Amino acid sequence: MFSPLKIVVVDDHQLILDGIMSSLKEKGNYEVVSSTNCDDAFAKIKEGSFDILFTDLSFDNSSFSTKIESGEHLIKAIQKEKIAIKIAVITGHTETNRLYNVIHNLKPSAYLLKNKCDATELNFAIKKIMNNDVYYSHEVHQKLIKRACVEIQMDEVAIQILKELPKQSKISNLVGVIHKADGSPIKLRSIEAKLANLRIDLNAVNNTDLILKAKELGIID
Amino acid sequence: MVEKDSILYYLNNTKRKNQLKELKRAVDLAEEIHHDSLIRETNIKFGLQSYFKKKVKNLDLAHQNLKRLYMRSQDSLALAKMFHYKALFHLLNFTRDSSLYYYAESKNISVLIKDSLEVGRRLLSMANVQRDGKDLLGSEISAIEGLKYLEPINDYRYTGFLYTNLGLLSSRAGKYKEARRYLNKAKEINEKNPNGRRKTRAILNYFNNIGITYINEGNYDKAITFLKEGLALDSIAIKFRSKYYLLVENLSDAYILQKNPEKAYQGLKEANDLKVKNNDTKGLSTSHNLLSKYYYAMNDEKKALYHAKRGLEFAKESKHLLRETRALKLLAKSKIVNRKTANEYLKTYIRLNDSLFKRERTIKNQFARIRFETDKKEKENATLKIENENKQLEIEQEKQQKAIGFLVAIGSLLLLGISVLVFKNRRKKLAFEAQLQKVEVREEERQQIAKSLHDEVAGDLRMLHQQLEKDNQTAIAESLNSVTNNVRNLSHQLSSVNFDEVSFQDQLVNLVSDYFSSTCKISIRGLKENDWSILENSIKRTVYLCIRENVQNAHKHAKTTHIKIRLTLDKNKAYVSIEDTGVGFNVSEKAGGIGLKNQRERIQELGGKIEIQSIINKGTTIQIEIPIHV
Repeated sequence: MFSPLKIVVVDDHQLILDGIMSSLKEKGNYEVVSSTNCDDAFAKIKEGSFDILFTDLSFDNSSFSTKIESGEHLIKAIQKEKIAIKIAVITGHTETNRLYNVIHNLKPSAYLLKNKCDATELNFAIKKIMNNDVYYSHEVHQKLIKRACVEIQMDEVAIQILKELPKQSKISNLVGVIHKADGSPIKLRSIEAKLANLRIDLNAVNNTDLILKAKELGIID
Repeated sequence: MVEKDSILYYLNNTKRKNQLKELKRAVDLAEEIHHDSLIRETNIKFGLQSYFKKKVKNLDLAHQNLKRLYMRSQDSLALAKMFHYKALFHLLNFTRDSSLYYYAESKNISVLIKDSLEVGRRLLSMANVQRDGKDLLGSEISAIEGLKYLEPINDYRYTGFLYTNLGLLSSRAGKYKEARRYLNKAKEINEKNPNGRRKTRAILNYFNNIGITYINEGNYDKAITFLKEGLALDSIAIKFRSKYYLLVENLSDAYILQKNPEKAYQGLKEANDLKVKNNDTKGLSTSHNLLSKYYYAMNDEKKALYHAKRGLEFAKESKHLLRETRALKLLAKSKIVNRKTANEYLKTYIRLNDSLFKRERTIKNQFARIRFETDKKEKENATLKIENENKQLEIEQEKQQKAIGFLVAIGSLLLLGISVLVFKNRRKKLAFEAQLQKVEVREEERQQIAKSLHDEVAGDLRMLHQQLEKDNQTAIAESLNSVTNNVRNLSHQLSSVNFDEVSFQDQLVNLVSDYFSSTCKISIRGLKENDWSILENSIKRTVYLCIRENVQNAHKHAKTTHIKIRLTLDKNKAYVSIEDTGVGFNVSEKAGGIGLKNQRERIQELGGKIEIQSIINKGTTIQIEIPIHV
């Protein structure tokens, strides 16, 4: 029998904090500690050996004496001290800018949205986290894919590849068809690398799936 | 090529019978193919051969051709040759003073082009002409000058001639020892001549000339020895006929003068016979004169008279005044003609001698004049040259000064212009920086307000909300909650963006992603292609906020399926255009809206412009331009 996972939850709203705590206790055997501000949470994390941190991003209750103002700062402080703890974000922030920056720069193990989250998702996320996987809420995924769409749309070469790929029987046939902006042809290796990146960006399992997703998302007609 | 080859063929076949004709053909061919150096070469050869053959017309033709060549090509070599042939032309026409003049001209050109051999040759010709004209001093000067040019270049042939000339001059002046010294020197030089025939001829001349010096000195024995030595050379009677006569006749003369006339006869007879055979009138006058002299010495008055008469005839025929006087002198000596006739002869002799003397004097004077004038000209030329150089120098200096003045003027003007520009730019830049600072200050104010709204107003409201909840006034608490949310939104709207942590590009992509959907596609062009890091933060912020405002508007109101954002950056400005295909709106009605007003204000703060075009049911285009620096 394993000892129960030790979890810290930080949120400035007591109601939400209570909700998360009850959801956790509902489904599993966890040892949960809560805090309403980052400074306190950071002190607790440094003291005891916790497995997972759940934190909000913005804290409205900060005062002049507050050292750590936001979830981002808390995560940075932990990463700076190299404390071994899995980090999950649970927040209401759905703006791509915040979301993308947190995921891109801080690389949390999970990004959950408070308003859509329930006990089942929470526990599923914990399982994934402990399995060294990454879990994002469905909406977060959608946001990231949309962002990828915008990026892909700016990439003339990617658009060309996506448009030409369904017409060709083999990837190697794309050589000589795809050109850079200055008119020079692109090598097979570059084309394959680009396709691999596109599959990751659009969460596609293979090239056929990639084309379908691109059409679905409106990247190509 | 065939024609060129044939020119060479004509040029190189100097031994042929129709040589002059062929040279003429070569000249014509060269003219035909317009090859300047060939024209020069052919004409030089043609002219020289014409002179040897005494073809005055051909010589003149060569001279004219060279003149044309010079006019066309400014070829100094052709000019020197042109003067040379003009001199030869005058020589053939017995106008020796003109000849001398043109030799001098030719020489001067050759001096200019540093052609020492040609200079020496011309000076030799001049010395010869001067010697013939009895201008002994002039001839000596020319010869010595010629040596100055020829000795350094190790020429044998013409150096030898010059020394011979100096010898003859000394001989004329009665300085026989000096003459022989010169002649020996000439011989010494000639012996080095690799050309055997020329060497032999020079040696024959040497014996002859040395012999003459001894004859003139009265040392007939020595004269006879030398002349005989000359005649002893192998087969000269055949190879050098005229030299042979000369030696034979001088030997005979020496015998006669030695009072051994009987030894003279055979040689005189032989020479005379040969001259008759060759129809050599000039030579015949000499040999008849000598025969007459011989018969006088032999006391055969009759035969002496006969030969003197013949000598006179031939002298007249060949227009040789000196020989004519000699014949007349011989005639006047005759004892068998009557007194009257003898007197006639004597009178004619005196008259002719006088005129000869006069002519010699005039020629001498003319030569002296030419020499003087040439010298003067040279000196004048030298002075003129110096003057010219000085003038040139002055002009140059003046030019330089002018140029310097001009440059200084331009430089000052440029400096002034640059200073004005720098000053203006600086003022503009300062004004722009001041503007940016103002913008920053206003931005800070906005931030302050946003923060106050967020922290203080929203904080107080939340505390009030908690209070109300505790007091169970749920309805009021609920409405207070919506007020709190509004305040928070307002704060978010006011709160600015900064690009310190996340780049402008990424933030813009993030912004667009929030509004992107399969039903409303948004494309951005010109974002990755430009370097936005060079822009001031306030400019990037304005661009970002404008795009956010307009995309939000389009998303909310336009019901569009496509929004196109185009960004451009050049040296002076940033351009943004946002285009949708939505329902459009009435620009004049909406112009007062808070969003647009706010946007316009931000752009104008930066000195930029915004232009909104909207057509109902067609779409909206917003164009923004913001100056980026200056």
